[in-house]
Amino acid sequence: MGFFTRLRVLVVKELRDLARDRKVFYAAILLPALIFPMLLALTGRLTPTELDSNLVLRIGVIGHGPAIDEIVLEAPWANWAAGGDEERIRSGELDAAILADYSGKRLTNLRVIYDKSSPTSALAAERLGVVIERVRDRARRRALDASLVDAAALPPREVVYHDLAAWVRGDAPKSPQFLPSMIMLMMLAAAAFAAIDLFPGERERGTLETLLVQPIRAEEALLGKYVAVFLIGYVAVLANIAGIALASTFEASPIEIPLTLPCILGAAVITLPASALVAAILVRVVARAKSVREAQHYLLPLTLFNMIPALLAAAPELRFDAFTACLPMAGPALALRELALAKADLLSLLMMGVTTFLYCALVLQGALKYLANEESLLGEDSGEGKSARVLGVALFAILATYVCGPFLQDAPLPLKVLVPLGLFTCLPALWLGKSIGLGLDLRMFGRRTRARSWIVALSTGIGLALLVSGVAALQRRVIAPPAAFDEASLALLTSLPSLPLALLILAVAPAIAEELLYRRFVLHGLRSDFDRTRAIVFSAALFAMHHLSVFRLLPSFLAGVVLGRLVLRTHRFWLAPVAHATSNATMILLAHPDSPLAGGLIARAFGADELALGRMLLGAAILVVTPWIFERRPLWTPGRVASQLD
Amino acid sequence: MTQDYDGSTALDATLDAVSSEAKRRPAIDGLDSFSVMAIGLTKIFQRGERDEGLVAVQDVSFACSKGEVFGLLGPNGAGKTTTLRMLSTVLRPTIGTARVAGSDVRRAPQHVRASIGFLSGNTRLYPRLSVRETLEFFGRLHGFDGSELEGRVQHVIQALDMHDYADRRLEKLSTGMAQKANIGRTLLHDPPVLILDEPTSGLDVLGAAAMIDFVAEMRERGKTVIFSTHILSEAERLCDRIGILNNGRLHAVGSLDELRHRTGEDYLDQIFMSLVREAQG
Repeated sequence: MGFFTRLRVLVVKELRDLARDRKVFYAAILLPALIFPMLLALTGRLTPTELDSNLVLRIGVIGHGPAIDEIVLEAPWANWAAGGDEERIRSGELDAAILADYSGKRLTNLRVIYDKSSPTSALAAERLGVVIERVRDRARRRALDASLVDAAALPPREVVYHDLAAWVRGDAPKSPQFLPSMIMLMMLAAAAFAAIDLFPGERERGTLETLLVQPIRAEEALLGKYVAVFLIGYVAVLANIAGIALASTFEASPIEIPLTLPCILGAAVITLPASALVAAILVRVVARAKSVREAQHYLLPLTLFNMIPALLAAAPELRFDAFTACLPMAGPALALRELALAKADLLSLLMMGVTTFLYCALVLQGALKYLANEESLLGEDSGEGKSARVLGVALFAILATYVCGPFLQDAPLPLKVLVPLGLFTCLPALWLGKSIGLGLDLRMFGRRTRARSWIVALSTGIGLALLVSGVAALQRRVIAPPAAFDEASLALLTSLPSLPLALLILAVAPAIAEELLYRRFVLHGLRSDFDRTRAIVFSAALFAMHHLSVFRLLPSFLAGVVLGRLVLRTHRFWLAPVAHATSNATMILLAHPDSPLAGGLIARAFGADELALGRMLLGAAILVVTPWIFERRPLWTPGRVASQLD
Repeated sequence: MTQDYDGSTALDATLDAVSSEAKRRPAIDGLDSFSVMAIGLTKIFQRGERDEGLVAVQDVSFACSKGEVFGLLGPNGAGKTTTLRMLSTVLRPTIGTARVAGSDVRRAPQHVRASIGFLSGNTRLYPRLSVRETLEFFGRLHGFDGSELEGRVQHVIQALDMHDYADRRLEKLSTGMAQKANIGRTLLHDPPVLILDEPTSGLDVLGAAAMIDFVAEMRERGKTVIFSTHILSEAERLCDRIGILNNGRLHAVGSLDELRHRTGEDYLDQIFMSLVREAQG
């Protein structure tokens, strides 16, 4: 029996097995097919005319003549106003406007301006359309009956509807922006159900080993499962496209894509390599999990990692060209968007297809290599998925903080700082702690607390402030931040009325919240799967990402490394928030207008660009020497000794 | 003897110790006359590069001839499952090798898998498939198709009296019925060697009795059966020869009479304890 025959036997069995699992049916067919029609129904976009029939709509009018008078008389539901510029419609002052263009006495055309994104404006345009058609019909009949050629009584030659809604104004309509990420999400969800069922699910049910004692190679068994996962993901994509096509036929649908047969077929072809890549990533990641529960922990970071590039398609500034076509997951998402806009060029599409299949082959090869190890295949070497949970929670905290920013833009400063810290740092931290089995008990204070521990914490804070300020100043010479960045930083500091309040909100609160998440739980969660160095580096990278600015990445990363090392070296978690708060407080004390140190010699030395290297070296020296003096242990311990201390 | 292994340098110390001991073992003559031969089987599990490894099975050698029932006897954690997993090619030996039905587990694992029926607590069947679909799937993997496949599936269903539930999904069957279907799966390709890892584990009295009868029947049909158990009465009743395994090492191999003679004990439990004490002391 040849390779392909065995593969076909395996794939048919896997698909038959999966098809009988209701969860896979819901995820691969029902949900993708119905999600768009359901969303439309839920948001009421299907029935915009069901707004209150007695609703009085405000209509602006520009131009005057018999036809307009007739329209006004025919529309008792309208409250008419003179004028009707676009701004008044956008601001909601008017629901719609009619612009009459006269050529002499003859009404040549009529423009109806409205905003489809507003339900009342869409209703106004619809009602106006009915009235205008009625008036046009009547005028035509009159002209025929009387053979009267009174130009003023003739109907308009043309009626133009001008929609002001944002998604049709630019060259990137709203629908193509969100559709690719939605399709990717559906694909990921369905394929994830299949992958979890076929790897950890089979391990739990004890059926994987049965397959491995058959006369097939382990690679064939893996490929059979991979193809099944890919097909399930692809079926979900096709069902989703069918659902979108169905939803686009509804009246008042917000989907502005011309869903012709070539467009649908094009989408089906573009999503083929994307489905192959998603399936390969899922197989590689989920194959690590020993249990279904552990695999579920991998899904949040996996979804975020896949969705972030897919969401890039929502940025109209990002063009689909030969370069962006090669970005994993972002390439197919952009290709889908461009296909909807009928702008995709063949070369970029080819690049996308070839590179996506290449990524897929690489990931699949990694999965084969990993599963070639029998312990991996049988799931005997897997961890408990703590790292995946840690990653998922940290990425959620970062994204949530990022998304929350614009909503709090006009909020008072204490709220602007404390709400994200409380909601998206402390709460995820506590959830993560519970999830990975770490509590907030007295053990977090480590061994016996001594006065010299306080000295180490305070000196680490001061050293850190010097190091970070030096590195930030040196970084400015390479990448200078825009003036707005500096202004925002200064405004943040000076907008608080008093120094103690500034210290509390900008130094102590972030230190406690961020250290709780990144040093107490993320770092310790990562330690279950990684050695000390990697755990510190990964936690510091996540900590740097949390600062949401490219100009803060490097200084925050270094701070994360120093604080992570401090916690793992001393086994005292509380030193990290103390050091972090000290570092923040040092900078506030030197810059806040109420501070006695502001404007002094130290403050000037701290801000001087020419002393950047000196500050960095001094900070590094303090960080190395102080622990050595007070703890009798250098901060940077050689690996073997460090592992004994850990 | 094959001495190659897949390990990293962290394993070297463990491997050196294990290999030097293996070299002291006398060679086994006339190996080709046996249906199953384990030659210095050793398995070391290693967690991570820095782990020096856990020796699960060390230098296990035995041979079984055609039509023989060989029992591997030992307490939980003795290394029985690991040994049988190596014989069935699920695990690759770190050191040593085995020949099963004429094929080497290292060099021709697919041939070995085509010649064995392996049944253990970890080889369950797909709950969403029916008994018939399951048998057809495994039959196809063994290269059967068309009328031959249909004939074999029908024969197994008849032989194990599974007519009444052949088209029902396995998730709807009792443990005993599912175990019968699993036995059917191991017999479908008529393998010369059956490897059964604690086959009565989890079965009720009737199921366990049926399994014992099945092993006895296989012996009558000339098949080589290797089965592991920690239930001494099963081994006493079925096995032509017994291997006593403890802490990953095979302490003794022989018929019940040979073991009685060697230890001076009458009952298998006493023999077992005596051999374990001898090995420890």
